[in-house]
Amino acid sequence: MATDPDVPPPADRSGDVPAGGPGLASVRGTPAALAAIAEVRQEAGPLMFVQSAGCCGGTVPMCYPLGEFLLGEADLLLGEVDGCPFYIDAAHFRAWGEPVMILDVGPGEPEGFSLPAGDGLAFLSRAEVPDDPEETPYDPWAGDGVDYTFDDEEGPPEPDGFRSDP
Amino acid sequence: MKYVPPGSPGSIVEVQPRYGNFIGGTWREPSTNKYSANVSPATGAAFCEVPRSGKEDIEAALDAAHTAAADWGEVSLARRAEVLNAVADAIDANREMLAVAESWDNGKPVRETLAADIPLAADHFRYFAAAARMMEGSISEIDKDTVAYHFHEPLGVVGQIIPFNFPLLMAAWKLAPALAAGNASVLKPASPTPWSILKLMEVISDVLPAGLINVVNGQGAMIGKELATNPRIAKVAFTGETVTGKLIMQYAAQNIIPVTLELGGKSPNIFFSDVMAADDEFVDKAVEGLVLYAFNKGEVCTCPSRALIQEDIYEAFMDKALARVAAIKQGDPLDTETMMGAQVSTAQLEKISSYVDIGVNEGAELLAGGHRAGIDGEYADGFYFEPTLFKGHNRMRVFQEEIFGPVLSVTTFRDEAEALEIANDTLYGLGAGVWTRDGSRAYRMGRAIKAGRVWTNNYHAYPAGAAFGGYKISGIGRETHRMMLEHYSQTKNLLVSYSSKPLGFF
Repeated sequence: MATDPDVPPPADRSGDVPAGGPGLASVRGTPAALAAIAEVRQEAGPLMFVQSAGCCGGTVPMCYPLGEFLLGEADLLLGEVDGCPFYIDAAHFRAWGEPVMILDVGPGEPEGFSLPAGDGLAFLSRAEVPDDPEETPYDPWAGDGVDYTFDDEEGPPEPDGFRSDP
Repeated sequence: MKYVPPGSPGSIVEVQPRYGNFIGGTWREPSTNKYSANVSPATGAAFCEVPRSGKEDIEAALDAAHTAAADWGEVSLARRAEVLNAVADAIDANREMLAVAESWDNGKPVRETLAADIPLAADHFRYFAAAARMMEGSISEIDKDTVAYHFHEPLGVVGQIIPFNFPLLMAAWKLAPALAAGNASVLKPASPTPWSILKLMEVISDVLPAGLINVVNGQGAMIGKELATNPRIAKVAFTGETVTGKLIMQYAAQNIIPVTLELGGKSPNIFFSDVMAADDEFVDKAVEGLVLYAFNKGEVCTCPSRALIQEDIYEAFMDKALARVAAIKQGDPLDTETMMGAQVSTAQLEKISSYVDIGVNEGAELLAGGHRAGIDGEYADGFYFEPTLFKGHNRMRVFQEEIFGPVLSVTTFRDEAEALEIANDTLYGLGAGVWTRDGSRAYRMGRAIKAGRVWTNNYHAYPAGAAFGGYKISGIGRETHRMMLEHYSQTKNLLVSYSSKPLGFF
């Protein structure tokens, strides 16, 4: 992309902290996100993040008190940011090219029922698709016993019948 | 012409420095005594304060709504229709004022609000006024002496959570059927657009029974959740993103109440080569049909954000389309010449920028735009983004996820089968467009695309009377059709025996 004076330069991510414990690296938080988590947690207690998609605020991570969002088999744990689990719907994760999610904070009101990241601030996420998938040490597809993969020729799996036939 | 910004001398829109919640027909200060600054996307500057409400405000709104619902559920259908028509008349009488307010709150061009948002909102109330008059129960003759009577009864009080992209029209979509069916509503506007709905309440409060519509502003984590989990609501309707949709279903499951959800899309807009079989008005219409991705700066759940063009007309058709995109006038949303205004928030602006980066990084070809738009003068700090086009393939992320901005992803297809395959290769199923001169093909495609609405040789029309809603993860339920009266009603069955003969079991 051509550089444009109106476009802000990419954020400096040199200080990004790898998330969670060993082997979990499909999500990481910026220093601003880590600071916000520490602050929000003081009032709201343990937290969880669930990546949203779709209409309106769509591509934002929702920050809830831990346990607020009931998890299903299709919710993938991408990792933890400062001890907070970060989930994404498996079909979205696949459709987005299995990115590394960067949890950050920006100005604005939070979407949906998400907790704010501070006064006038909301959590946001960016997705970075790794150039070399081998660089992603954590394979979120592995180990849960559910086969989420599908052949590229065939496209994503058909949703459940009850969903496609309202 | 250019309208004067709301609150400035000479403007047709009056702005108070601070607003309350609209509860029980009166304006009330929030129980929290907290307020948020409300920013106009056009300038990036705050222009008023709105409540940051708490739990007690939702309870107060529910008290008012329950009081109103008890009476409203028993008035004649003629009276219900009279009120809905009076709301429509009040909207029409204040069309310009509301159009300018809507434009200022959301950033969308007044050209659109004058011609679409506001007249359509009024028409929705009229449509459901008519539909209310037409409500009929049914009688089934089970056997000669046994009759089943079916009555529609109001649900009572409903919770409605609306999005920022069409604040007034989405309110009308949800309020009109709820009221027509005899319910009262507690409505939570979207955080980025809390104000235009308050201007609407100012103009309709005189004709509206107190407590029928209650508007509470504030953060979703506080009042949205409080409303959606409250055992005193009988239904919840929501338009927004998927995770909140799931959470609302989860809350509704605990209270065992129905939900209506509209959760977005990644709608394909398909152009077959016969579109260019003649050089006529229809080609022009189809080209505009592609450029409609920029309508409301792409902040539309049904934004036709994937264009599928048959490969043999790709060059010729795109030449015309790119010329039309280049002619888009962007800037001051209050100028009736402006075609594209400002994105609703800096968060949206940042998201759109990041998607452009993603598109470039994954190898999509940037055909137009791609940057924050430079607008001069008093609008320099507004949230403007250039109309943007990518060429790529459907597996790219810019083809798979809803960007909610003026970003179109274009690809080609060989034949009808491939067009259908690409169209359905998405998690969503809200809208689609099919453009062809072949009526049989239009029918085949329209039936085979897994989406709730397939616009055929048109796009972005939202008339009352045509059902709107999603397949797949795009949602549950339908709006903008009289079938909504069923969704906002309980069914009462009286099963009556007119026979005097004993059953004979005991």
